[in-house]
Amino acid sequence: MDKMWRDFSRKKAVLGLAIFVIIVVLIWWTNIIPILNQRHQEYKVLSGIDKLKEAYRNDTYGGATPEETLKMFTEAFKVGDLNLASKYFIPEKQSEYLAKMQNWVKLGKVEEIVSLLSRAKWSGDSNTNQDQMDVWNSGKELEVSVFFFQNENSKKWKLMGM
Amino acid sequence: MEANGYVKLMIILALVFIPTLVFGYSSSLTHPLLTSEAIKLSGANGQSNFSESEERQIVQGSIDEDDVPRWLEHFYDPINNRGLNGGQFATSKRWAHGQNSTGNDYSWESAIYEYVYGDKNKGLYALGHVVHLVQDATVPDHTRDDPHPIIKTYETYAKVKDSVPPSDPTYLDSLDAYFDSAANFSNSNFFSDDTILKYYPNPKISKEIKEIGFDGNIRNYGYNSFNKKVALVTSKIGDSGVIQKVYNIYDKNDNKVMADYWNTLAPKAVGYSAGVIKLFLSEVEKEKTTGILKKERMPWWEKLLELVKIKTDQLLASVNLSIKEKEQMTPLPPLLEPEEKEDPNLPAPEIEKEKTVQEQLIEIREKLERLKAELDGLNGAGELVILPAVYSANRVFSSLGTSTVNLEAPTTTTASSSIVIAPPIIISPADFSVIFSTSSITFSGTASSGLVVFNNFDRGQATTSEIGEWTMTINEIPQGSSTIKFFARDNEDNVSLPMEVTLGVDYLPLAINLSIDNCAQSLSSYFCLLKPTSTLNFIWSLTKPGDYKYDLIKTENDYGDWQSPETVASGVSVSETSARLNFEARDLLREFKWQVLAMDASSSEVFASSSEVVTTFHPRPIVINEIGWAGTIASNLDEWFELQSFLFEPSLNLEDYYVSDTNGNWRFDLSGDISPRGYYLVERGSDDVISNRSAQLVDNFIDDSSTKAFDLSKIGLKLWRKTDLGDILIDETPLWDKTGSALSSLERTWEDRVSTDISTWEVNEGCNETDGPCAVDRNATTTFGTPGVINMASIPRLW
Repeated sequence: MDKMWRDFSRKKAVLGLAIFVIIVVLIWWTNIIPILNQRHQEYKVLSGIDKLKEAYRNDTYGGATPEETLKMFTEAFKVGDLNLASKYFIPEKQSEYLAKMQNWVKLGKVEEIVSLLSRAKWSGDSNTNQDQMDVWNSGKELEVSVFFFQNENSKKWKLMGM
Repeated sequence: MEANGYVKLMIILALVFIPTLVFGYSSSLTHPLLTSEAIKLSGANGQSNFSESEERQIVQGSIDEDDVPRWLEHFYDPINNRGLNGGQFATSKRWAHGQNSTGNDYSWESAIYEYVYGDKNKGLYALGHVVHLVQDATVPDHTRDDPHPIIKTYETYAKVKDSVPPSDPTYLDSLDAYFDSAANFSNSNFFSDDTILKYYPNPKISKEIKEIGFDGNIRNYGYNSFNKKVALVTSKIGDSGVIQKVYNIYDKNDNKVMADYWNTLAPKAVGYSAGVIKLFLSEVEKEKTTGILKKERMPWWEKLLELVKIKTDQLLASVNLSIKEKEQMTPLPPLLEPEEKEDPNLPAPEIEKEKTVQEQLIEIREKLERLKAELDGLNGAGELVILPAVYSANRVFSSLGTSTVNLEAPTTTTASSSIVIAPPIIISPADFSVIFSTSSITFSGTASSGLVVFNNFDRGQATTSEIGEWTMTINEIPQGSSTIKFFARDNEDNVSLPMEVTLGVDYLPLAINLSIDNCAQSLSSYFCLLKPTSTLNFIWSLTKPGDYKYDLIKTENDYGDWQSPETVASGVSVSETSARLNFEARDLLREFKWQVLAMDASSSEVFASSSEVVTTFHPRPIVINEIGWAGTIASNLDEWFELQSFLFEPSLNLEDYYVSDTNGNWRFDLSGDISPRGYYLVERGSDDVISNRSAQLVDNFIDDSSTKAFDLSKIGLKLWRKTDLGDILIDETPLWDKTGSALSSLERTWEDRVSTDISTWEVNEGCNETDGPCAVDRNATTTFGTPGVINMASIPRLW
């Protein structure tokens, strides 16, 4: 009888312990899930930024001045080397401008665009890592702007938009 | 954990320790500058309230808040109430209170708690963290969800500034109000690099003015509604090679745009920060009196002990009082003896007035006695409940200058070591059954002299005067019903039972929320894009009921010119809050604004108008543009097709779209975006099918890769969009029989014709190099069709 009772008590103790452990695990789990989720989101964003920074670190295309970069771009674009021409843009804009240039080529706009860009003038120093060249019409009004950004790793100027 | 998992973990850990990656103002230059200015401004006469070392703590906190990954929580889009990346992270407003999933050691509450009870320097350091967040809320990139890890025009400009234009401190009631005000200001009045005139309704360009620059050239600037330059107006080369007008916030030569940004936003950042520092000091004083944060932060076991102590004290007090009353208390004498008039010649109105007061006192006393009698049977509960009321009644009597009420005033009754404090009595407002038309209400009443009365709503408090009166104003009471508890406490932290009031507030103006039922089937999740429809169903609701009639107003965009508003439904019945309008949009692309006016049912005076709801109609916003049914020269299994967007803006997300074979043999979902006027190329099995063009989607079409997906005797495609109300057919091609036909693609020509019109389709059997580079198959051989670019048949030709 005593043995049966002891066995029963032992089973109850084991069962109680198991329930206690399950409750502790559940509490821990419900608390840890939002934190893990947050860490995962942080990882996704931070690694995306790291990839972009890596792209800038590995980027060697561009000239020492905005004018030089625009000249290099125009030469590549003029001869139809669109892949090379797109590399003079900042990494996040390269695919966008590659598609644009394909369209410009398709529409026979190459000569017109090259001629337009050849009139772009640079004036005044930029005191930040951005710069701008402009095309002015005969009435001294702004016709088109070309925007640049200096890659802090290579110190080369990249095209941002035109 | 797999190796890959370890790599991820290591990257996360590494990122945590990487020095600052700044997204807001520069943490090493601009934040210290703004914070130092704010500290000066927060003190009287420009003198700081802090010692030099204390100031250093605040400034250092404002620098360190940018540590990785804290800056991920520095965004607050007040229009959509969300944080970075469309709400992937908590808003800075929530982060400042530590209300995110991982907590924030340097929250507003931590700052106050540490300053009062812990390490004062740590409290100031945490305050610096919060000040940083408020400063970031004045940066448009942070309030327009537009992070720029590398290029940031405004913040780069701000970095070179070493002084801030003069500013005035801004005083608001709560930290949240600072976030809301700063974020709304920067969001609604300024642009960030990639949100110029898109994603947010404001700012708008109210005017454009040409100015001569230092170099003699003319530049055109766009202004916001309060006359600040918000963009340089220039041009870029568009997708089609044509020059297009654009707005840009970078303006190198004169820096006039950025100068206006800095001269407006930096003083705001300083003014708000100074206000926050001042608020901090006042919250610190409040905490010293109320101890509310301390109680909130007690460990659970301390709270439990506290509760047991209070309950025990209350029990002891009730027992003691019960005994005391039985032993000592004599029956209350009659409440009022009719008083002899000192001067029988007193004017009649005064006698009348005195009688009225006496009658009121008698009534009060009778009520108290009845109440006490009813509660006496409840184990002494009568004393606990009646004591505060008796006490308060005596206060009223004494304030009225009558001494005839002979109620003994047991304001506090010591029982063993416990003290029972009467809850405060509210005299004004006298009637809580009326609806208050303001969110700011002043409460006044009585309590024992010297007690501090406080409430649980905004933790405001007031000290009772020598004659037992207190007054406090509670602001920002929300619309609707609220329950507020008032407590009294003595200087030994003994707190009374609550005096609870429930009140109704209705201060919002009448507003109309208008929606258009049909927009539930919008083809875009960004705006209401519809195919032309025969009816539009309008539904509106009002924030307050009333006797109104309604007008429905339509404004049409005629190719860029908004026409005069036109009333299309007038005097809609007062009982209706919906209208159905027969309506058909003409042409290819039409845009309309809709608005409802609520008017007085009899006088037609307009009480309120809804905000405008815009609908855009296009019969074919996105079409099946070319079908490479024959595959390529390399393989007849290398099938492909192409979609085109006929919209001028914006991109369309295709997550809810799918394409099916007209015969119903196969279908698959699309993904990603199609750009305005852009193409969306789908290649079968591999992106090498057309090796010199990138596919937007690669899909197997059917399971068996050795069989053609297109049935040559019945070639045709359908484009669908899934909605909650069922799938909508967006576009459909005719059916062709190409059995035994020469290899070709089928391409669409005229934009204004329906896709099922077979005359708008042409066969493309080759490629014209003069139109641009031809498509190349997987063997680098030129193949037929124009996948991913403009169709040959759509290029205008002179001969």
